[in-house]
Amino acid sequence: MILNEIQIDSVLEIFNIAIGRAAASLSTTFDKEVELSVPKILLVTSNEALTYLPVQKNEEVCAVSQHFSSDEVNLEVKLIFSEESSLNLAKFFLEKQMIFLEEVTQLEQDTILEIGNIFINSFIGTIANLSHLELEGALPNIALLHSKEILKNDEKSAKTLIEAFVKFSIKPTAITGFLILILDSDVIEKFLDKIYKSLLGKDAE
Amino acid sequence: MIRLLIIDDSKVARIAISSYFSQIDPNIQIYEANNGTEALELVQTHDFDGITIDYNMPELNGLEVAKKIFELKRTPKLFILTANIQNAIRDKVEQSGFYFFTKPVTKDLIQAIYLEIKK
Repeated sequence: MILNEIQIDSVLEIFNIAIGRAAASLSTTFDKEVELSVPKILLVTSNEALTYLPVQKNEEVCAVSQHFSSDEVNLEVKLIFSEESSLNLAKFFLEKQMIFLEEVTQLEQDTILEIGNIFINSFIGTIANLSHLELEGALPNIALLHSKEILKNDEKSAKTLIEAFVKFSIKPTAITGFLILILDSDVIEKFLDKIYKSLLGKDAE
Repeated sequence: MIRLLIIDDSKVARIAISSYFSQIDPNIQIYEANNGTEALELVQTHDFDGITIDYNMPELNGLEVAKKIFELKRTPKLFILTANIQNAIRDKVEQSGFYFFTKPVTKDLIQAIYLEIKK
């Protein structure tokens, strides 16, 4: 399957708006600027997808994942932080709530999960609103993974994926992370069609 | 004295919400539940002026919890406080007669909820 220029533009446009909204949520949470990279869209197999992710080959990462579905679309969103960034993010958040070091370790995963929940749902909620989809979300989950395991479940199916990712950083801290949107090849065309029509105001046709 | 119940499966979210309410009104009495079942037990034995409810929770979602609480006691003001910003969810919540607020939790947002509870 080859995506044409208009389809790529449509996805990038929706992705840009949605990631902007998610970044605004993160910025409000921390009262800091959130800088975004230029989003990238790839149509790759799951094995190939790993090589495009901005992680070191043997890096330990913290991943918040959430699955969304409707009658027409299934998709997965993953928010990835390095181990160091995830600890710093938790510290940063908890210090705002006047909670200090001794409790950070205990609350780290819960904090990252809640931040991930807000970020991912701002992102996916914007996509759902713009494309007039109602997406039901499973509960988000968090895992500490080896970088090569980020797309582990998807590797088994070895399907072609559309993967959109964007890197972000919270200024002036050194906290960085990235978000991946994964769509199976089965639903890519339906999803793109929805997005394209909604952008052109043709979704009611 | 205002009595508030916070229902959220995230401990950190409960800490943040609770912390901002306490900053706004140090005398507020705060109870917490981490799911709908715990919340319904508390509602049967306590009276609350306001209840904040996360939407995306295990077993019962926030709207289901709000409806069950409303069946038990019609008095508290019920606020769905969620990261889920989808219009479809907002419509369902508001059509059911409950308040809809979106995370992230900030002092301004909690202040707005506090003022609604006090009305």
